[in-house]
Amino acid sequence: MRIINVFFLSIWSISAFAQNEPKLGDLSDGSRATPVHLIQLIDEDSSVIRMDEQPLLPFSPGYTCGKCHDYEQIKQGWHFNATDTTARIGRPGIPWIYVDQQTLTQIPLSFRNWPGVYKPQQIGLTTLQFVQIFGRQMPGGGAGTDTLIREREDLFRWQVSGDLEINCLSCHDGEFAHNPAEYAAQTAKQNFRWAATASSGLAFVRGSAKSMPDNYDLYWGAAPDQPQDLPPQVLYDASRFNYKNEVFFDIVRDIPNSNCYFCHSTKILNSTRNERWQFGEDVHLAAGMKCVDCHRNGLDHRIIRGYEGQTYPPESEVSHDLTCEGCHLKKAEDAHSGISGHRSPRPVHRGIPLVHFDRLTCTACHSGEWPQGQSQRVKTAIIHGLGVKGVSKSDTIIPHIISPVFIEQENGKIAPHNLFWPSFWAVQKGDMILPLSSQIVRPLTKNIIINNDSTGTGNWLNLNDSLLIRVLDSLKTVVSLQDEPVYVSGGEIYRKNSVGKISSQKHPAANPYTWVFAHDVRPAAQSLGKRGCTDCHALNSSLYFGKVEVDTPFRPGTKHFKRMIDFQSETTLQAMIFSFSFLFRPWLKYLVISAVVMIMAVVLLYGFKGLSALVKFTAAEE
Amino acid sequence: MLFRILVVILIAVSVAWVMLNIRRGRMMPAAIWKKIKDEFRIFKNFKGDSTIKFFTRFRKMIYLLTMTLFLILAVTSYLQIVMTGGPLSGWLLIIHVSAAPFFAISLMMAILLWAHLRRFDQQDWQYLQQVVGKKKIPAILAEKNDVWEKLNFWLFMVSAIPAILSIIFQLYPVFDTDGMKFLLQVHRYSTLILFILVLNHGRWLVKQMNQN
Repeated sequence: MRIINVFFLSIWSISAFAQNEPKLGDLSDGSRATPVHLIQLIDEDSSVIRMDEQPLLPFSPGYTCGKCHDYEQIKQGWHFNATDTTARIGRPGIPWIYVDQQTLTQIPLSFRNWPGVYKPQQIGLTTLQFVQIFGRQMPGGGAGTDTLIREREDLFRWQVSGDLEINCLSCHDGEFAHNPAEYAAQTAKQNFRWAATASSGLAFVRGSAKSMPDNYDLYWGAAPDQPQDLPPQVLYDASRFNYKNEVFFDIVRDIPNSNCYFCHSTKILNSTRNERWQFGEDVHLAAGMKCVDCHRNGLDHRIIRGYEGQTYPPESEVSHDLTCEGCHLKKAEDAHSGISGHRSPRPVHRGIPLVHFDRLTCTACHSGEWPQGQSQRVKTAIIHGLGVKGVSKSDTIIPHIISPVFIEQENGKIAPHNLFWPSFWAVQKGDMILPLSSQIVRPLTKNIIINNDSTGTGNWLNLNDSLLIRVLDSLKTVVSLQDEPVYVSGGEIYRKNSVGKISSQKHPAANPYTWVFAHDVRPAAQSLGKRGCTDCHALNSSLYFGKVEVDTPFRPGTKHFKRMIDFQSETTLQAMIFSFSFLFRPWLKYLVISAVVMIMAVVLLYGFKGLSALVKFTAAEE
Repeated sequence: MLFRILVVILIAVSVAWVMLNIRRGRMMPAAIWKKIKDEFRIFKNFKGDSTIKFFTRFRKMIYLLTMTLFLILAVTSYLQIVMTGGPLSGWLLIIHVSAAPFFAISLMMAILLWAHLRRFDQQDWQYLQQVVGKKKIPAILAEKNDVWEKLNFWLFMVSAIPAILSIIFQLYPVFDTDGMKFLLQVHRYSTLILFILVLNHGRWLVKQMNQN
């Protein structure tokens, strides 16, 4: 018995030691050169892929890259840990937005517990459906691999689709043929295990896991009774394999900006400027920097988001250096510490009272488009699938993201945000608003709400009072008696009241979802305040009085707006009085200067008189 | 933080001093309130004043106006500092910046109207000689001498100059952020000195009231 115990203890000790041992690729010898990645491809069965074997499977990034890099550590990274309930959620970020034009729905989703977002399951989306819809701009991992959040009814489908593993190539591939749009196309076809291979430029993938039955077997192929459906197949480019079955990956440590841009692009919808050349680029990138120069990470891939007060990675003291303030406002006494490598000019901020640095983020004056009298709409890659094959290029497509909106954060600083107004059908249980799934709503609305979008604008379909009443009446037939169907839109909750009319009510569930943005950063010459105080302190300033569209399909003839000040702690009256004072402030300045000159003159005059009295007094004493 | 602690200490000392004086019977809130109300009556019934009387009245009005504006500025700034330690904002900021220019103008008028009355003369030097123990002056002269109050007045005027200038300079694109930080400190500490001088003036007023 004792011998057996010693044996198992030894095995455990060896395995524990082996886990802590850094892998070959994670232990730096100090060379700054990127190692050439001439490696064998390994499939999800941990077998080396050889061109003469059948069936040819897609390579598994987990096994292929995981041979030399600690996949388990990498999984903790910000891009992959959304479903990890122990991961820090940080400040609210860009959500996934589920959109259904026919049911007039746009609702923010996330597995992170950010206020205002819903879990996919809350609107009837299974994890598999979620990954199929949004996998286009996911670098894998998270919902794509987390088996704990999968629904039982999808277990067989997951066997067919495979996991959407972390695709290291999404970011680290420097190859020109790397094709993220192909990755997106593959995830839409439920070809999760094939997506990384298909986008790598090493292979061509055809067929669709979505069209395969639940009992489809990867090794046995498709059932003979459905010859029209092509099972997923991978066709490797044989010329890329050497005699040792090795393939060259153009792996880069410093991620190219274009790899980030596939998921992090923003298109500004401006009626006067609509061509790409009419817009600039972030001042840092224009100066030759890369996104990853600031958004850095270690092996654990817990990337620095770069906002002030970010608490993770908590152990990293240098994370503050990678914020605007940390880089540009470094104190002379801290010159010996932190990260070097960039010139980061120290702003002079001549004549800007210090209160501005307590009440505004750097980005408030320096980021985004120069604010206009009314916020504009933007399209973003993650929300609108920019760069994905076949995506609608319509500028009116929902969801309508409004930007910039100057909103006061929890720390009391005003920062530019993106904003959108959730719209969805729900039931009210007491004070709770529970969204209804599209599967319930769609069959009811399709006969009531006419889809007249023949030109494919993707814009809202019209919803008036009578249509809303009809939909709410229909919903009443499918929800339980004690629940009241409502429509959440444009910051209000609409319901049919006792006299058969539509009444509205404010509710936190109808509040807009907002998230801070920081890019593109404008140069100092184009920052707010450059033209003087009245860039912001004026009765028509965008920072306080800029109009924010309240977007809703309901009653399309009437446009509603809010003011920026509605999203700040100051009242409209306070902002107006303060701004109004700048009209006559120059005169007051001159008056005060005159007053202080006069005071100085009198002090001097009577100072001399006092001296005179002293001199006379001492003379008299003598 | 240091400034916040200093302000809290100063306010605590002031309150303790007032409480102590009330307890010892040197200050009676009702009497003080009545005195203040009486003082503010000079804003009424201008008609029929002679030129001299008008200037006397006007001088006092300016004094009261300056003190009132100073108290508004002190309350609006110290309230925020004591409560949150953060920068001025909201209504407090609006009131503070609205009152400040009028305080500067009113202070200018105060110095024009009061400077001559508060000038140092030979008697003051005589009194100071007695203080340092070099000479003895008649008791009646010593008792009447208000050299400390004059000093208080002139120190107030001198301290007001950096307090005002430090803000004026902030309104022009002259200083960078470090310069602005320096100016803010100058403003804070010079106004703290002003506050101490006003408290000292209050102590003198109470003493005068008790003597009368």
